[in-house]
Parts: sequence; C-alpha cells; structure tokens
Amino acid sequence: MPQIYKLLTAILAFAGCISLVITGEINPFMMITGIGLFPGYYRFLRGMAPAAKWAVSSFSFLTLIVFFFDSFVISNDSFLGVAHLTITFQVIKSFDLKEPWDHLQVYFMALLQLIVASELTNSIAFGIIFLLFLVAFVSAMVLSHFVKEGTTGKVSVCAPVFAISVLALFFTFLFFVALPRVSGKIWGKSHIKSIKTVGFSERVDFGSFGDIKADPAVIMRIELSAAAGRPCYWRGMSLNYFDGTSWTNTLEKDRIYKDGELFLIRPFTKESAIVQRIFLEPMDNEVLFGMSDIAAVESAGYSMTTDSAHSLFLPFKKGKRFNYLAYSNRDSIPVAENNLQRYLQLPPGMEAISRLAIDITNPGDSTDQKAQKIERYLMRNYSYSLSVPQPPEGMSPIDDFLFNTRKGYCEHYATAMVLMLRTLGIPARIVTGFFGGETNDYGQYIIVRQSNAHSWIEADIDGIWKRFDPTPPVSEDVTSGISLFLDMIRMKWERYIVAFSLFDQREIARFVSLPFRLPSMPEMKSLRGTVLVIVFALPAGLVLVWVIMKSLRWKRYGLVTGYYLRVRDLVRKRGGAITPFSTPAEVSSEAVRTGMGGRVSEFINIYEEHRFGGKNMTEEARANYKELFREISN
Amino acid sequence: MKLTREGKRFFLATIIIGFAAFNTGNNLIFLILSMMLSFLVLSLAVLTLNMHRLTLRISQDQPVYAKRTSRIPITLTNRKQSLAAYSIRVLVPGEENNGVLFPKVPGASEISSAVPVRFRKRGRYQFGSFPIESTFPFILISRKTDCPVEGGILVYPEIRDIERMLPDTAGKTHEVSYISSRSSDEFSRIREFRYGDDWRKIHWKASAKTGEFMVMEYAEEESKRMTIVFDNLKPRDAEAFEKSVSFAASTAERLIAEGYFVRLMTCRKLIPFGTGREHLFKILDVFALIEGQDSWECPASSGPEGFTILILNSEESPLRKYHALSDKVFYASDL
Repeated sequence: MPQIYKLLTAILAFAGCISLVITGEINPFMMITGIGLFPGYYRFLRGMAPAAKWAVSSFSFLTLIVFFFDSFVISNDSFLGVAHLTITFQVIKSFDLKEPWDHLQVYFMALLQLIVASELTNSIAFGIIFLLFLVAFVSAMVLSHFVKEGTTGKVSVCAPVFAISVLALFFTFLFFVALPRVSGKIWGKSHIKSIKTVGFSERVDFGSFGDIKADPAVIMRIELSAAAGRPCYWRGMSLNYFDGTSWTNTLEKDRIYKDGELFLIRPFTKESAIVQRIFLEPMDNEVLFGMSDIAAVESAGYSMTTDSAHSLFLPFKKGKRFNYLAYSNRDSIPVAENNLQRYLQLPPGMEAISRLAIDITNPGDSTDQKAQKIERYLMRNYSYSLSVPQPPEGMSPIDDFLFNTRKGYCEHYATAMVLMLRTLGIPARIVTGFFGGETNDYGQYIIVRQSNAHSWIEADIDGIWKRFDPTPPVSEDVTSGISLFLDMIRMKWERYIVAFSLFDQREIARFVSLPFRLPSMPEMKSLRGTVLVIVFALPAGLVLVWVIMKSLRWKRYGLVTGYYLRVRDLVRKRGGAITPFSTPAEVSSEAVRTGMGGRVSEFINIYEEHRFGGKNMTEEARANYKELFREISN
Repeated sequence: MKLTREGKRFFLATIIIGFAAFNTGNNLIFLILSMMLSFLVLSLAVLTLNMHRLTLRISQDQPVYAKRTSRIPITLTNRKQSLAAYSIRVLVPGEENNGVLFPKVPGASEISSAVPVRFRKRGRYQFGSFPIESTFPFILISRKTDCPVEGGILVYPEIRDIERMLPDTAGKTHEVSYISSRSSDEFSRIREFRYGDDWRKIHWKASAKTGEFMVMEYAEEESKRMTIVFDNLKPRDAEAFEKSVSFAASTAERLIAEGYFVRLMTCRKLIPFGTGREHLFKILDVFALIEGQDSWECPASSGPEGFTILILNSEESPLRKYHALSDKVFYASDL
C-alpha cells in the first residue's frame, strides 16, 4: 500500500475531526480522545501492525456506552453526541486499518463529520477544510482504484489525480448552483447558534443596550446603492409603550404576502429607491432591517408581517443567514394613524422631566423647533458612557440619567427625548436598529456590528415621522486593512455559498436565459414537501427495505451456504443457465462459460469442503471465503 | 454499468446526504451533496471516456492446444488522440482467468500483454469482441463493454498421452516390416510428384522425360512412412468424435516427434507424407477444423501406404474397407 495513500487517509481523518473542532461546539472533555489520532496514524504510517481485534471491539463497545451517556447526560444533545462519537471512532479506526475497505470507512466517517460540522458552523474555516477534504478525497479515491487493481507504482497517478480534482471542483460548483433550494424541514432543528441581540423583541428592558455595545460580532453586511448618503440608520422596529423600566411594542401586526417577487409595503419606484442588499447573520429575532422607509422587500419566503410603525418582521426567528433586497423611499414616513394617543403615553412620575422639557423649549416654538432644541440640549449637556451605575433606590433610571449622573448611552438619550416630547404633547416613539457601520473598501459593502446597535426617536412633526437622534457622536474603532480583507472573503463566502438561495438561482436562470427567452423558473413553494418526499424519502425507504430484505434473505442460510447462494445468483445474473437444481459443479462450469473466471471454481471448492466435507470454517478461512466472494462480486 | 460494493454504499450515503440537504436547506450540506454527486457523475463520464475508442488485436505466436494453458498476446490500442486509458481489464470469454489488466495505455498508442488462456475446445476462434472492464477513476462504478477484436486463434485438438494405446508404434512391429537395411540417405526410387512433396526433390531429368513432375525418394523416407486414415464420415457421437480427433492429432504429433513421415487421409483432406514441425502444424490445422462429412471424397491418388493407422467412427463405417490394409485400427468408442 503506497505511503501517499496512507497519508491521504490520515489527512481525511484529521480534516473530519478538525471540521468538528472549528465549530467551537465540541465539548473539550469529549474531544480529548481525538489526541489518539496522532499515535494511531503514526503507527499506521510507520507500517506497524494494527491493534488486536479484542482491543478494537472493546473500545468500540465502550465508545457506544459513552455515546449514550453523552447524548443524555453530558451534552444532552444527541447531535453533539454523534459528533463526539465520530471523533472517537476515527481514533479507533486509525489503529485498525488493514484493507482498502477500511480506508473507505474512514472517508465515510470524515464525510459524516463534515455534515455534522456544517450544521454547527457556517464559518469560512469550514470552507477551507471542505476544499482540502475534496482534493484529498478525490486523490484518495483515485488511489483506491489503483490500490485495488494492484497497479500503484506502475502508473503515474499525478496527471489523472490533478485532472479529476479539477473536474470534481467544477462539477461540485455546477451541482451546487443547480440543485434546487427547496427546504422541506421534515425533521430536526438547526444547530447553528444565533447571535443574541437586544432591542428587537416585543419588550425591551431599559439599560440592556449597554451590554452589547462592546460586542464586535458582525450582525449584517450591506451592499448599498451609491446614491445613499452616509452615515446610515438601519431601522429595525419601534417601541411605543414605556412603563418606567421597559419599552414595549403594542402595535398589531398585519401579514403581507408576496406580490410577484416583492413584498410590497407601500408604493415605490425602483429607479428612485435606495437599494440595499442585506446579509443578516443568524439572530435571535424576526426583525428585518433597512434604511427608513422600507417600501418593498425582495427575498425568499412566502410571507412576513408589518405594523403601523412600518417595522417588518419575518414569520420566524433568523436561525440561519438571511439575505434580501430592501427598497427604501427617500421621503419620510407619513403619519397615517388614527390612534396617536399611544405615542403620548407616559409612565407615572414624569413631573421633573416635564418641567425640564418646558425649560428647554419656548411655548411659541413649533413642534419641530421644540424637538430640535431638546435634541440639541441632550447632545450638548450629557456625556456618552457605557458604564452607567444602577440608579439609587426609588429613582427611575431616566431620572437618574437626566438629573443625577448626566451620562448614559443611546437608550438613555432616546428615552429621555421621547418622554420630554410626550410631556409637551408631541407624539413620539423610540426606534431600535443600527447606526453607521464600517465601509469595507475591498468589497464595497458596509459591515454592521453588534456594537453599532442604536436607538433613536421618531416624532410626529407636521404629519410626518421625523427622525431625531439626541445621542452625541462616538468615535469608532478603526479596523485594520487585513481584517477588512479577511472580512471581504468571509462576506463572499457567506454571500455566494452560505446564503445562496432559490432567489439567486432565479437570478442566474434569468441571466442565462436572457438571450433565449426561456420561461422563468417555476415557483417551488407548493411542491417542496412533495418534491422532498418523492425525490428522497420514497427511494430511500425503498432502498432501506431492499437492503434489509436482502440481508435477511441470505442470513437464514448461514455464512457458508448464504455466500454460495449469492455467488450462484451472480452467475445466473451474468447469463449462466442456473436453475434451483443446479449442482455446485454446474454452477462452476456455468461461471467459466460466462467468463466469471476461476475464482468461482476456487470459491465453490471451499464451499463444498465446508458444506459437505464436515470441516469447520476457521476464522482465516472465513475471511478468505468472504474475500473471494468480494472479488467475484466485483 | 453497475455499482460496485463501495459504489452502492457511496450511492446510499449520497441519498442520505441529499435528504439532509433538502430537509435542512443548509447550503453547506448542499456543498457536500454536490461533491458526492460530482463523484458519481465523474465516475460515469470518465469511465465512459476511458473505455471509448479502444480496440483489441489478438495474435498467435505459438500453437494453442485445447485444454492446455497457452499465453496469447493481446494488444490494446487506444485510438484517442491524447487521453490515456487507465486500468482496462480484458476478459477472454469462456476462459478460466481474470483476464489481463492494462494499467495504462497512452493516447494514440498500443500496449501488448500475454494472457494465459485455456481453451476447452478446438477450432477457429473469431471473437468479434472481447468484454473489457474498468472501474477507473474511482472504485464506485464498474463498466463492462464489448471491445472489437481483430485477428483470431486456431486452437488445435487436445494432445493426449497415447502411450497406453500405441505402446509400440514407434518401436518394433512396423519397423520389422518396413525399415530396410539401407542407410537413410540412400536413393530408393523415382516416383510421381504428389501434393505436399518438397519441390527441391523434383528430379528434373525424369520429369522432362515423362512430362510429369517426378521426385526422388530416399530409403529413410520409404522406411518411416505412416498413414493416418481418419474417418470423419457422418460421425454420430460428437463426444466420441472429439476424442478420436484428439487421438489422431496426438498420434500425428508423437510420430512426427519420432521422425516419421506422416500422411493424413480424411474426407476431402489429404496431407501427404512429410515430417517436421511445419508438417505437424499442417496436420493439426486440419484437425483443428475437421468436421463430419457426408461422403468420402479423399483426394488421395493412392490408398493407404506404409504403416497405416485407421481411426474409425463406428463399426458400421464405410471406411471399414481399409481395415484389411491397415496395421492398426481404432474405434472412436474405445478411445
């Protein structure tokens, strides 16, 4: 067996295990067994003898016991249990590699590890490992062929391996683009961990923004049409009810459906709209972000919801990456609500705040002037700080901010301004979302991080919802060029691989069919469950039944006769005149006639010796018997 | 085209991964599924391309006997311009071997290899095509297809040990009667030219006088003449007939090996007296293809001559007329 073949097996085993490790979800304690891969493959590469069979069997049995314990106790997750199990099995197998079939088992196990890893991470590191795996897998499979034929060393394998690797990459790309993205979700749940966000739920506790403002985790990446000004406010949702310690959204939601390819919220023209392609990371909320005011959304999915404050929500939490095109109108949101009283709601004990609002403004000012004065006042007289102490007992946090500490972050400023405007009888609401973001010149897109989370306000100024942001500007950390470059690669990976969707397939199909005027891709919605069942579940079920029936069919005859009957079956299938009454000698002669070679005669001799000769089959003879069967059946 | 054992497992794994991909909608699983599908597609495509435009040529550089293993040279030609063909196994039909493997045949070239072959029956083998098999590039799919074969093989009858049946043929009985005391190169007589005679033995003076080709005959030739009269007239029992062919061929082989001048008389075929390896092959060529005939039309100008071995189909054979002229008579049923 050539050394390179052994080395490739080792690479694939390590690639499989590393793909699990990079997910960051593997229990470090359960990962310890993985260290065994080093001595295992060291022994194997040095040509040392495989481990004793009893040792392999004992460890395998022990691993299964640990697997159940792990699935129900340690990890309490059978999916992670499988991940841990495969690592240990890879280690056991590294001590028990004998024939080419064992190598194939390693490859299959590594494949399983990749699949498990793909459910635990979306990182680009997975992509790098996948690429390495693909090239190593192609090489190993081509070498497997030459090893099986016994021609390694006689043929230079470099050229075929290279050519087939390139072809495999090409076809993998082709299939990846062409396979229809119809998600059935018949069974299981996503194991991708979503980012915990603050401010985008129906109820937001006051002061919670401070915890996330230091988090550099990327929330979304946005490709923005050139016409848009900077910096941008990425509006999420609004909150209208404040009870002194938390904000709540009490607005009713209405479901909207796709109109053609768009979720149309209000009229717009594509030419004048600001177009944003937004790639959201997995998050624990349903909110869609975009520049205010989002008029339409183009995305996968069949429905979404909106409220009277023009916030948009998906029908599910974004457990996976989600990308969409948002079309935003340039004009402000008109006030089209009958019930503006909900935007004048105040918690008890607002007297001091009311006095302050009156002090800041003049009675003769317009609503806009009043709002601007309050905004300016907060911006100039208060300082930005993320370290805000708990308010003294009995004092509300907003009073503490306005009259005591005089320092806080966006949430304090926005809440204070909304309350002051409301005390003056101006309808106002708080808006949560993100502000700014870092422009990545390598990829011409904006990176929005968790630290860009922000809240500002919208007030009813002369019939339109006008945005005010009383938070003083804060200098942002500058990311290094290398980090931006790496982020660009990450963005491409996520854009074109992780977030590739039916939507993208439509775009490609549209582009390809442009010169031919082909009909557009059919809508897969109504078909997806049926397609999944027909294409996969049904054949898979039939194959499973067939495998079980086949296995049971031969098992009842015992090993010696069972294998003989299979060989007889093979001879019949290859055109041999075999009847149920054919003798072994006749089977042998028919095998020769049909060109199956002398191995059949050898096999039948062993069969006759053990079936009729009263011989007990030794372990070695049993292995030889099975091996002969394999050679014949191949 | 069929899936190998590994291929079946790979295919099953692909179906399961496909289910996982469509169930989860996870693009990374779609990526793995794409890889698996690309392997299957490549297996099919490369395998088909690998076995495309291949031809075989079979040649015979040595005599091939039935039921005896011989090595037959097989040449595999790859007619593709630049693509090499890998791991092509040529299977010789009806033979007890795993064929011959050609690990690599570069584009626009040919490679020869000898395959041990054991033919069960005599005759001319014009194969038309041989099955060729390959699993390249992976071990997932095996393809078996027919490849055109140029050339053919003439398989001589089985050569058996006939010591038990002809224990004294080369020994005594006939020698007592026929071997003269003259030395082997002594001139014996001049006779008419017969088919199969060596042209170099033509006696030109005598030929000019008589107007016929006349040849010189020497004492040795006269003394070591053997005639095999083989009855292939309406054989009834095919198995017995094959045995008699094998016996006759074995007899010829042994006698020529012992230096006899052997003549073969059969229905419609006559091989005149001759000896040596080439002469043996002439006789074996006849035996390789001999079949039953409806009438005795032996082109011999004379009857049995020299020591005569008569091999009869049955006791009712019309050739029993040669019984009295023959020194040894064998019946197919006894052989």
